[in-house]
Amino acid sequence: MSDRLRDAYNSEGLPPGLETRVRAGLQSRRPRVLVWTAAAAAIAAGFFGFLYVQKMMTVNRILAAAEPGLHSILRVGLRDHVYCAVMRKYKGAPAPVAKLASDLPVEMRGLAPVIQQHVPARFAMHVAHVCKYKGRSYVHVALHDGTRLVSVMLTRREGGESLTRTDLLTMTSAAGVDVFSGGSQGYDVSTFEKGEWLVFLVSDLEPAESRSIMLVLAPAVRDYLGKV
Amino acid sequence: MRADDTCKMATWNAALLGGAFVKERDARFEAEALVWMPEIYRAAVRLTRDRSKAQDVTQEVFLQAWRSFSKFERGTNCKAWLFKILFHCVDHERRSWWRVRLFRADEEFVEQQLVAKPSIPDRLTNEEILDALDSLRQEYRTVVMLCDIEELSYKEAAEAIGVPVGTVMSRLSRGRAQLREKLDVLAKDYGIGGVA
Repeated sequence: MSDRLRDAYNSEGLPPGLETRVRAGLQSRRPRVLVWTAAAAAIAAGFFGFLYVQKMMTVNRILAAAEPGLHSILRVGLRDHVYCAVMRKYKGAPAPVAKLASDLPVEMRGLAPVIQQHVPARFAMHVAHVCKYKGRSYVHVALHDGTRLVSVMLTRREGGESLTRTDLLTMTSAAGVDVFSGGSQGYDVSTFEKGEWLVFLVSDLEPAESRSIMLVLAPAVRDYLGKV
Repeated sequence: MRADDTCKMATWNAALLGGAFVKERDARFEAEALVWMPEIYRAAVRLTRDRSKAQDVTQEVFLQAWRSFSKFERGTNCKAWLFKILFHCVDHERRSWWRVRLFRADEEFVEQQLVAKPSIPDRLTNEEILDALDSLRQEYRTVVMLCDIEELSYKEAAEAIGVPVGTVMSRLSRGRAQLREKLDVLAKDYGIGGVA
């Protein structure tokens, strides 16, 4: 019965002009959809723009307070830490290190497990990515223990930046790596150089603990960069 | 909010403002929804029994579908989704005239009856067959159209008209039986015996 019924039913053809009429009806709605879409996009852009401005005001306020107490080369590390790590929310369990590392450039993916192995076990990796602050790129790994925050950042030297002329900094050596440190407004910043790279560790830990972490980490990171 | 979220959002906004989103939606709507216009129109004709009204309803169905196309779940049956809108439009126009449930008390599913699909004598014309279909109660005609003609699954038909699957099956059983009876009478009038 179904085939014969279907044949009879399908004998009713689409009347001429209906398709054109439907399409014309849709066409007349499209500009309205575009206007609403553009309006929604503008509102969203405004909202996120507002959030971004708020964030940058907070970043600038923190940096304005902390930077004067730091040597200029240490500010390079502090800036990205405040911009990218401090302004982030650390909720829930972090993803596995291997998954986080997949956001890094191929040659830097091996760095994430190296860092995780050389920081105290209570710190879990929450971020591993490349970010930019004011045009400068950083390979950035952020770790959190529930209350304290540690960032490890690598950035290429710019404009003759060098640690050989930083007589104002405290220097400590570990396994042949000279680590320079300073602190301001609760932030402790340590750095060393390897080839074209400056490596920073920035944290809100006590200076002694923050620097001891860097002294453990620096030889491992130096060796890794030596192979890249 | 993270810096990379800001970047993603900005990209998304740019795409929206550029109209790329709307263009992609247009193309999808064309490929997935508009191709079913003949089926929707035919069903509208049978539901309204008025070709002029059916055209209006068809247009309204596609306008509503376009407006809510973002809600259409990709990978599901777009035809079934359009039928759901069609029934909503018809229902809205005629209030609940086709949702009369005189048979609610005994709508139990009789599976054996669903299996029987008797043939229709060739001598019956399309008009006679469609008249027989049109003469069915609205709720029976609807499920015969959806399940036997448009070949929607019971589940899809149930979702389209907003009733339980069991109700679709029992209505289909009754609809087929009634249609068979009506065609049987027609066939006898032709002197060609009953519908086998």
